[in-house]
Amino acid sequence: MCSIGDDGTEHMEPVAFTELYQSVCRKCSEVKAQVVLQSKFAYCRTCFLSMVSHKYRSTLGKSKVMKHGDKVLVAFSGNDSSVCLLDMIQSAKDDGKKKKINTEMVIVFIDERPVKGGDEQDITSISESIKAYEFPKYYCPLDSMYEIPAPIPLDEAPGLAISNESIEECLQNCKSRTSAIDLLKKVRHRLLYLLAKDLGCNKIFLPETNDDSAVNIISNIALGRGDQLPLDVGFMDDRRGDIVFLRPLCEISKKEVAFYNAFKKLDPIVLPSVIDKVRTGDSIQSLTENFITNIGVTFPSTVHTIVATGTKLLVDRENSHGVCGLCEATISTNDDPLSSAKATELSSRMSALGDKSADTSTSETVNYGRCSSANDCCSKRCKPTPSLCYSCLLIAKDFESTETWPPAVRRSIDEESSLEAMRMKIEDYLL
Amino acid sequence: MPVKCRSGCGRNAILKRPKTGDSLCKECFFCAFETEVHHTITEGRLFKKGMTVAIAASGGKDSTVLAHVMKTLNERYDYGLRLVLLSIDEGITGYRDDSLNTVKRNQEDYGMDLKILSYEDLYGWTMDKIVAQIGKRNNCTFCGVFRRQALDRGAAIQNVDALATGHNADDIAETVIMNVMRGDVARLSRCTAAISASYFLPQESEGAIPRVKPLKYSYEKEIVMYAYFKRLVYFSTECIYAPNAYRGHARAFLKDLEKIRPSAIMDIIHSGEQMKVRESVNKQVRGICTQCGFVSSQELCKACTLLEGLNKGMPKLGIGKTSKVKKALSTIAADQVSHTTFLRKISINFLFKKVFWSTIPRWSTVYLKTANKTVQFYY
Repeated sequence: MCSIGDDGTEHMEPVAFTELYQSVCRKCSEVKAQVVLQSKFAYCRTCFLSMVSHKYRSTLGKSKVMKHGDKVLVAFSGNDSSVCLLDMIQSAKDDGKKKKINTEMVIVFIDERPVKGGDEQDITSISESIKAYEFPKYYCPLDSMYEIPAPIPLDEAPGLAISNESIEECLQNCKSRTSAIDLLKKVRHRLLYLLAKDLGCNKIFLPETNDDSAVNIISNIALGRGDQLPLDVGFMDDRRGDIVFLRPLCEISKKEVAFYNAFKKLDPIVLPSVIDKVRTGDSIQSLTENFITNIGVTFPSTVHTIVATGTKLLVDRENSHGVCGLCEATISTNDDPLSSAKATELSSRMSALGDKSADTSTSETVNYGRCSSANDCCSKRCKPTPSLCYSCLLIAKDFESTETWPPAVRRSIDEESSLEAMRMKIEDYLL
Repeated sequence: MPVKCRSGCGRNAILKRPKTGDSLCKECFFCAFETEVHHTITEGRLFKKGMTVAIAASGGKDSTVLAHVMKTLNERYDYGLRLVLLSIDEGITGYRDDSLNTVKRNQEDYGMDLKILSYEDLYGWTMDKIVAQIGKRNNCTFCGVFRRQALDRGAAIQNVDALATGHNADDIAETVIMNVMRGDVARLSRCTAAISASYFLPQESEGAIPRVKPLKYSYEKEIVMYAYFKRLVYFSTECIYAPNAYRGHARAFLKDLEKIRPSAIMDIIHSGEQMKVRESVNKQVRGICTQCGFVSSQELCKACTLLEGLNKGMPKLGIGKTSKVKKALSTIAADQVSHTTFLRKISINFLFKKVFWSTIPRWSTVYLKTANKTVQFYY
């Protein structure tokens, strides 16, 4: 049956493009406009810059999470939005307004370059480009996740050889690009967390824009991370407790960032990444990005609507147990006898059993990720029950084994698993 | 060399399951597909013994397979259901008249009662006439809203206890994505349910008939596969009036995702099931339309609004924002409103607030006290 309009009316209309050529700034109504946002709002250069930097400050201000004496780690990658973020931090510091919250900033650059093809010149260009900022700057390669992560002052970095062999090998072993990207993202976040701990920071700034959020929402839904959405895309990610991740650019669009950089003459530097070499082709993340970008042309409000939907969601901490060893979000429990996870489990079991035992299979309780019964699928594959969330389990499925994963991640998976095993033993006595 | 069936039954595999990627033989695939639908029905407690269930039949693949599987499972597992078919004739020449022939064939094959309701009889308008008036854009809004209510009315006429629709996993996943993209939080939190939430409406209102989706975890590709190997003939022409760009994008996107990672559809449904909406967000309260008595979140339901617009020569009326509609409607004098096309008028007025529905066991009789009367209904 045609399901169009089944779920209500769809009043999504493509926008009519109005002629804004040679129009005047909508704010000051004096100067000729230089940039048009959302195909309808025209701004002059000055008003545009003040509007964008006001968005940054109001995002931080209204959240009320910044306190006096906070030490913030700023994740800097050299791309558009991180260049923009640094400039905004600097200009917020420079302007002489009263009642400013005194915070300390530390810039950290994470080196993701592959061993072959990442060339020495680039690090120098990175350190040159942010020379003007007086914050302490640090450098750390991704591979330090395989040892004990320690930040190195950025000035000493240009002499070092690229040492990302282990992570590169790990990602090469992955069967799909989607999982490789997802794993890399989780590893990068954990590295930032460990570095922040090392440097004594209690906050981390991530340069993610409004558009990044929209793409993350849709791709995370497609990856099965619906329950963690508020953490992965909202302004604040407090899943780790002591150190929170903040996204101060989450109300600023990619276009605004690009114009901000152009007007302020800031140049982004994009370095090659280990991920470039892993199974080139489409991934869920890249497909989503194309999808959102394309639909944004005819329906410019889509990004805003998606982000607004994201802010209305909530992490359900009550119906959860344990923590995922990889992404460190809580693993939600689902007591509903009918759920997608259980249906998927049933499907793979039905394919394995065939038409022999159709009747017995439905009566058994299905419990994904954990072994409830001793049937052969469980006893073979997951020796100690891996403590991973639904979506991280999908990543793990694309690897032969998790042996090549960074030791810190493996250790925390083991820790969480044994905690979970303990919990299950004493479950009946827990209140 | 032929591949053996994954289940180890010894037969040669003839297909690769889109959902799991396993190679299966025909028998094992049928068994897997049917058992999974059975699982959805039993675990989701979709039906009770002795119920009469209407299957919304369009003649398309989903409803054809649904009718076949429902009949098979009903006999095999002794659900004790009486199954009937319900079709809606939208009045689209060259599309619906052809597909209705398929439905009539199903009726003969399965020996089920069939009821066909037409937009013409219910509303006095066929889709052909509506499109002639408003053009091809937005016509899906009319068709969708009218169909929703027409199915409710048909189910009431046939006096059934539940209405089964052929929504498959792809449809549900698409709806999850669409609701996020449109910011429809209220629908987002209920679109993944296997049973519609209309249980808590009073029994005497036609809107009380629950809708169930037995195929909600079945992949579209597997439905086609099932139909192909069972040699079920269905009608597979696209509607001639369906140029809905926005949903089209979402559908194409979903197909691309499925190609990269076949489990993506189930993963999206998983996400949809797990997402929790903040308490403070204003969600719509379901009530009933003051004019026709069917389910509505507004005082006047969408179908009545659209119909009123059509009859008043203001067809764009119901398409925009609800607040604008209210404003426009208040200018129409009350005596001009025509009631002739509605089956019956119901005037029960109470608010469904602060009732903890989740604590009430399913299928129990509930007595709800309002200011001046007590209403009895099934939950």
